[in-house]
Amino acid sequence: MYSLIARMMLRRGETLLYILSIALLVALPIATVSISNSLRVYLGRIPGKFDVGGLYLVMRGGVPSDSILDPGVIDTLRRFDPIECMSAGRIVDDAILSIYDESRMVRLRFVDDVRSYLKLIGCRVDGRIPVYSCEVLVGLSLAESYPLKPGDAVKLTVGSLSIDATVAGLAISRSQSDYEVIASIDMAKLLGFYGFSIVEFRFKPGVDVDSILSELSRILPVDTRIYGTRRVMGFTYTVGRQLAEFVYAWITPVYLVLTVSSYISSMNLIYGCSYELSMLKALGARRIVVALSIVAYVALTSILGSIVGLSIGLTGVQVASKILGWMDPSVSLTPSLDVYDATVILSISIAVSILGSTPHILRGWDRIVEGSI
Amino acid sequence: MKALRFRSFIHLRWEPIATFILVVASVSMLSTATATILQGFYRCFRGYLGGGEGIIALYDMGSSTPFTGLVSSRIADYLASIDGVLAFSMEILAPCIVYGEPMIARGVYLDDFLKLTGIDIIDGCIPSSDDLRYALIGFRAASRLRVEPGVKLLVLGVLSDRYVEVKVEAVYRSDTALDDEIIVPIHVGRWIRGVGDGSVTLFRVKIDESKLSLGKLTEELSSRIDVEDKPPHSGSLEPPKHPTPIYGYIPTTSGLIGVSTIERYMERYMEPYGLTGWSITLLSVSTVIFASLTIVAAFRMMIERHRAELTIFRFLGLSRRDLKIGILLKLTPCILLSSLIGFASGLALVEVLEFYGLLRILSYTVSAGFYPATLPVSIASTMLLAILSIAWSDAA
Repeated sequence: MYSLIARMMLRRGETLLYILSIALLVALPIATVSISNSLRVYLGRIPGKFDVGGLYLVMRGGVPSDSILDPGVIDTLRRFDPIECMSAGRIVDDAILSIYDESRMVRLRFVDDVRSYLKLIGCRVDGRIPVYSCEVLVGLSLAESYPLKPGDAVKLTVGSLSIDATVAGLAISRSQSDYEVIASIDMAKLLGFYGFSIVEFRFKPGVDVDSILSELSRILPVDTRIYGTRRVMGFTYTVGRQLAEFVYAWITPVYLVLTVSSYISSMNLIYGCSYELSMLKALGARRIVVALSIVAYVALTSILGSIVGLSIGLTGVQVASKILGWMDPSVSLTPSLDVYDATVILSISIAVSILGSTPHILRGWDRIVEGSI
Repeated sequence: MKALRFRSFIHLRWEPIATFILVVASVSMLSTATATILQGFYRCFRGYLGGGEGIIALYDMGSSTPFTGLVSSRIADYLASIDGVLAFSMEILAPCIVYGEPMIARGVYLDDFLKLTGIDIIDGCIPSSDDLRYALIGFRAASRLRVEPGVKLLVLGVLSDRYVEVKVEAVYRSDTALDDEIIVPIHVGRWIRGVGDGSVTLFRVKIDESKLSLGKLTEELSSRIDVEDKPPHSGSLEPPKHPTPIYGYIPTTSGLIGVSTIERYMERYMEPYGLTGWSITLLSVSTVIFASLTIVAAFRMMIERHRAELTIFRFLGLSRRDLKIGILLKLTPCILLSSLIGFASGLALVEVLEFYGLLRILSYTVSAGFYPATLPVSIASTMLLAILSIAWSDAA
């Protein structure tokens, strides 16, 4: 019975038209996704050039100046084997650095070990590294704005407390420390600041950073956050995801048209085959058999249409890229389609085709029930 | 003409008409949405550096992306000595991550930047010149990150292992791609990009077009760079294979410096991916072709559903041609109506996609505005398809 119904429906003259109309519609997302894939492949290659290990930060909250870390965090990190070098620091904003009659608001960075911190950020020093608690390093750019030089006596004021210090050297780091005053954590205690606000560290070379980061986030307190620099992979992944979202958002209207197209083909089928369907019912076909046959017809035409569309889309975009390449040699499009994207597009196409034909399947069912077919 | 006389007698039932309207509207929606999104995308990136008459870009011709090229900041000294250069801004574009979102931070000398770029401060105020860690944030980025003036941001470098804490001083609006960026002092931009004081990504130069042209500027710069920076064997540096009159190049020790109009700067990066003005237009129009068979199928459905009535008209002496013209005249208001419905729903759909942040590429929002040319093109293409469907159909 099923084969009889299938042959009856597929032999209809319009079937080829429906298959082709579905094919053309499916070709559009296929072509679009395969073009966008060349960009995603390019994005995927970028991390290899730059991902050579970055600086990681641990703090509470969104910015170092507002963070106060739990002392246990620093002990945990010190015991964490994959970390190669680390430095804990306390950031204090709105301090005043005075020399003679020149006073400016500066940012203070107190670190547990000045030498380790300088090594961590790759900082050069013009002068010497502070040894005593009353000595400071001044960032080169900040020093030039006063101007300051090694050996100068300065006064640091935070709130009502102040301390006299000596500029031991100038820090040259190509980082925000070029505009900071760096001192030992002992000076922070003299100014009334206890505890750390940030830990900066680097991992040992060759470690699997992603798995270590997830392990680290498990052992650290819930409100402590880890931030990473030079995360090229994360950046390109997010940008690639945006591109995929853009493409899938753009092809949404195609699926709306596909739904409508399927609606028409099933409508024509129901009305065009009314005589044959009545005959089948007279021959003893059950209602469920007829309804399932309509679903099968729609699914089959959409599967055939989608496969043809896949071929048209891929071939079309390859031909177009070649023509563009001949016309302008600077164009180097290499469209590609992975199995995942092809499966998603085909699945959605078949699903929306069946969805579009649902009103007519239900209507056909009713007519069969009423006996009008 | 018989078709006109019989037109009032041709009665089309509402259900097939409604289905036909649905089909035409959905195809019109598809072409409108595609054209709007693609045109928005092209305009967004073509106008990435902002428009303006007489603005020229100097950039690294060896870079494969707009964000990764580097040119020497010494060019600033040469530019300052050229008569006809009204203003210039050296800028560094640094990919970064803020609150987990990929973004581009643009390091600038604010005074120079504002001479070339029109931005409206919608919240907060322009920072003072001695503010070393300010950030101005575009309104789209601010809305996405939910930040306002006074908020501190942690900016994490992507190409460098640096991070910077900046304070948002103002939220601005420029109606360009800048609205998705953060503007920071140039030294902060360099830290995040991981380069020294001697490098920037690009220069934007405003010239007095009565005194200086793009070609003249290239010559002037080339002669100045000749003195100090040109390599001893500059012949070994290959010039671009297809130089066009709209841009020039200057060979230096560090590579070729491109000199072009501001629009050409981005076009250069888009063209290798086949993204040219005409390919975008062609792609927009092609959606109608891809959906054409759906309209043909809808029209066949219309004919099938009215076959009995049409046969009677044939018996009454109406020719095939007259019958087709009659049907077309009867359907014209429906086609116009459905094209308008489709156009409006296409725009609405794009607005919804934009609202939910789905129209973003490289962290820039594709602002899909209303492009007036889309409406007549959409209606004309749908009408054309309807005419072809009728001509092709077996209405008799």
